[in-house]
Amino acid sequence: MDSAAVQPPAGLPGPFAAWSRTAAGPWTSVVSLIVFIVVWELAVRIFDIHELLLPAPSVVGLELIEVSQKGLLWGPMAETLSALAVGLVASLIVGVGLGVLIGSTAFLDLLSTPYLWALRSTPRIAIAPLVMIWLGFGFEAKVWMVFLSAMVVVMLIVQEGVKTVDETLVRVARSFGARRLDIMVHVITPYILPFIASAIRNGLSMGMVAVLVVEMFSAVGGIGAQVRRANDSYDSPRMFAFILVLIVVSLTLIALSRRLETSVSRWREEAYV
Amino acid sequence: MSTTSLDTTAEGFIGRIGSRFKGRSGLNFALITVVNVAVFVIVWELVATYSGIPKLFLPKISAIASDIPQMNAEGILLLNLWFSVKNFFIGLAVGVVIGLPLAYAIGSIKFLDRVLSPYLWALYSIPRIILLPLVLLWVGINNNARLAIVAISVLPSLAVVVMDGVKTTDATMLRAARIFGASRWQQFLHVIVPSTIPFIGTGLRMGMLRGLIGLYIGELFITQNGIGSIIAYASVRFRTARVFAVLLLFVLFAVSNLAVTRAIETRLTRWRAPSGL
Repeated sequence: MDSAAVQPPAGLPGPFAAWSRTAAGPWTSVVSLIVFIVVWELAVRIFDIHELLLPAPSVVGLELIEVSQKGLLWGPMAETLSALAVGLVASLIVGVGLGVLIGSTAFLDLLSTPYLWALRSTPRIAIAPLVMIWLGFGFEAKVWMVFLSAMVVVMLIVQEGVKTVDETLVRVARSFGARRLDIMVHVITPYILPFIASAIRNGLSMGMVAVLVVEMFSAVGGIGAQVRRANDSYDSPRMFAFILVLIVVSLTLIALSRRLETSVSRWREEAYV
Repeated sequence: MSTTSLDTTAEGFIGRIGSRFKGRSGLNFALITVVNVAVFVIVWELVATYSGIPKLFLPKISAIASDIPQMNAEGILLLNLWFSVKNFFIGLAVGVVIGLPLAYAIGSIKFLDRVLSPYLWALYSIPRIILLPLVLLWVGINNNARLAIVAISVLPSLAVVVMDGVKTTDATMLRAARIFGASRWQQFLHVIVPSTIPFIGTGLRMGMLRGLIGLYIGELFITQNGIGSIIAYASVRFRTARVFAVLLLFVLFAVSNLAVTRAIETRLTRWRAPSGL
């Protein structure tokens, strides 16, 4: 669980990068993507790679259009995303609450330590088989799975945030006569906002893994199931099309949450929290 | 970089209750934890016995515990455990062997950074389970696929952190080295590598956490052996107690893993002055 997650660099050139004489412009990434696709297409055509192993980008693109016209794309996508959204919102509400509670009460902190260690070190998707036993493969199971795996991350990060609140700030507030509630609202809340943003980002990636595990395992409902079915029927172009969509969607969501994180933590000096 | 290790010694900020537990290091804390876990176990057993929840949903903890020798007697426990541990460390090694040089190369060569780091970041950001079908397609449904999944889970987490470490090398030190006539290679070996060692510690910890996810997913979908396969079989047959038992072992493995990597990380970071963060 990485609340200490690194961020993509805002301005790439670090001190050490000045070494390189290559005048790499900001468009290098775009160019590299285009080159990547062209090389892929050419490689498939020149070496005559079988479609099953690696379909050409053009084939994948056409398949993508076909899939969306057949209505296999947007419906499952909506199902996956709505499970993700519901689970995530629930996990934020519960996770932030629990995190603040545990982080601010030394007694609970003490009691929960061994369990938090277990939760922190074990991948949360480990409980996927249990959730499937309990709830089956339906929408409800997915929401619960997202909720459980994201909630743990959110709770851990928020709890950590509350625990690291600068004690001087609390003492200052108290000596100016702030009550517990005041401290909560005016010191703790602004302090843990970046942590909550980071929790959203981490919860989002955990939630995506969770929903996809259930869908791919069960092959019922959602984009994950579509991938699994295409995989099982050796329909590589279709599988690549769905995987492409998943990559784009997850990158977009992560980028959005990262932007949120940066904008919330702008007032702090260090971006790495 | 974030040395906001989760185990900061910061006490609960609302100190009144906290002060009572301030000296909680060592024996005292261990004692409380033992009592704490014991109470948890007893409550679980009582709830499972008397609440009428079917054992399909909540097996008794005694049933879970007794399933471990049972699995051993069936001869499936140690063998599969060994497979999983072996797979984990081989996959980890592959990820590190590829990831570290890659991270140093991307971190120090601007052109590579521009060209490759978007892909590395993409790999880091997307849930790796998306790539599982591709791995199955290209590597086949076999053990190598599982190694590959562990490796691609470990690699980006490690590489991204180390790459970051290379980029944030103290420019003053580099300049000093250059003034004293260090060649590029010498700068790399004597300035950059030592200053990135703490980042390797952090990267390893994060990589190992991700690697465990990879291991587990690989075993759920390729069920020839390993503890994930026991879980997969048991859950299909609704043997909840067995699922819990294997999960318990998995948690123990994961916790000891985290403890060891934490220790390594602390050791590697010790020489750095506390940054106050």
